[in-house]
Amino acid sequence: MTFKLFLIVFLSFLIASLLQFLPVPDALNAWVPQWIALVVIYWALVLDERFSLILPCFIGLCMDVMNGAMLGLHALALLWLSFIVLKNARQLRRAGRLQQMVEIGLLMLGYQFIVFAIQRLTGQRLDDWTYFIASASSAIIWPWVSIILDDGCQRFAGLKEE
Amino acid sequence: MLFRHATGLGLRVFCLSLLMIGLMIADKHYRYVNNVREVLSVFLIPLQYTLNAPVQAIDWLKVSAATQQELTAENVHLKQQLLLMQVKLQQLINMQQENSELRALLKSSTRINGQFQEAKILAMNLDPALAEVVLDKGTKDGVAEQQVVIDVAGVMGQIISTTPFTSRLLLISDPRSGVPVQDDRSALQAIVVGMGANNPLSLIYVSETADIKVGDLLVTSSLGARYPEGYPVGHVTHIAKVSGEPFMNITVEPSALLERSRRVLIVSNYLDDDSKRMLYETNPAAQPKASLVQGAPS
Repeated sequence: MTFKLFLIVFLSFLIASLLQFLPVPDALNAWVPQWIALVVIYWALVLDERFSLILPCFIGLCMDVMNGAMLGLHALALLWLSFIVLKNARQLRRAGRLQQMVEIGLLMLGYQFIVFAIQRLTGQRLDDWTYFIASASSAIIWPWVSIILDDGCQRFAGLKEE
Repeated sequence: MLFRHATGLGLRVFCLSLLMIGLMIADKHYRYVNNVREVLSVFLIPLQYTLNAPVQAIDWLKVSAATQQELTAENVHLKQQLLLMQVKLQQLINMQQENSELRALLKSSTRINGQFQEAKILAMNLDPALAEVVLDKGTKDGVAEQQVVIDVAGVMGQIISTTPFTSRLLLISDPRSGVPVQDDRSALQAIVVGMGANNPLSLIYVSETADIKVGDLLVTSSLGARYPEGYPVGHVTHIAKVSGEPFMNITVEPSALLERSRRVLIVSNYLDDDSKRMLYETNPAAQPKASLVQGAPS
């Protein structure tokens, strides 16, 4: 990783975590997209084989500490999410906007389900299906996330040409 | 080119997954994983304070935009309230004196009031299923694990982890939280457990013949030696008998404004000698390390 690349990855995660944890009114709470997971997907798609699996683990551990969840919970979910994305990166990149949104929505559903299932099994969460609304809002916001990050990459580091 | 990832990727994911699952199991069973948590949470302190900044700015704007008239009105109102409180306090001091004399006659251990410290909840959107919040006071201010937090109306919860500048509060509405309580009217003992944020609490292990009514006030009991005695926890709002079950389904509305309080009080040193001995024998790590500012009328 060059320094520029490291910097832009760091900045994107910083902004994503600010958006993720920004206080919102209770009614909107369930609609907050999974910003951090979206950014993980984006970097897995763009960096492909240069994407290190340590990254989703570290980001996930920070999310666990922030949320007060079991250590390793979000790390595991993000790890599996990026595994699926890396496996299907070629197909995902070629998909049209709408198809990409649907696929991202399904990936998010899987990611959220891992977190939900583990927390449910260890008795840290009770049934609350509104939790999965975030998958839909993440899918809707995905095109904008990818456009903004693409733009940022090109301006900042010219990464897309490599 | 097409299969560049195929070698090694699955294996790496497998190894890291094992590591993470191991970490989860260790976190559930062993205390030393808390060290990892503490190191990571120190890095997150700037993020937490940044998130709180917009809320603080709005608060500041509210104060600066208030007119003099509004401020004067508020001042008058606060002065009236203060007078009322002082009058009530006079009676309270008298009663406290009486109470401790009676306790001495009964040869029972004396109650200790505890020390209070004000803290603010940092505004942040955390996982609503885990009812936890972050306070702006940490070990630097003498906050330690297992100290109890209350607001103006009742018990909020317990401190579960600390950093130098912040601490985490587990609210009583969290499914992992249990508070030993007693019915203020009938002195019935039971345990209040959380049902998730924004949900009412639940009173468990109360048999069908127990003396409990809708509207009863539940206060903390001294059993368990964690919570100070006599603080309100909630009111009973609903009682349902389930056929075939030995215990009733009882819903409790928390007294504390769990979702709305911004200013809270951290209580420490409230245990009497007997409870302290009991607690420290079972958990030597609970010994407080630093002393707090004396704030309570004693």
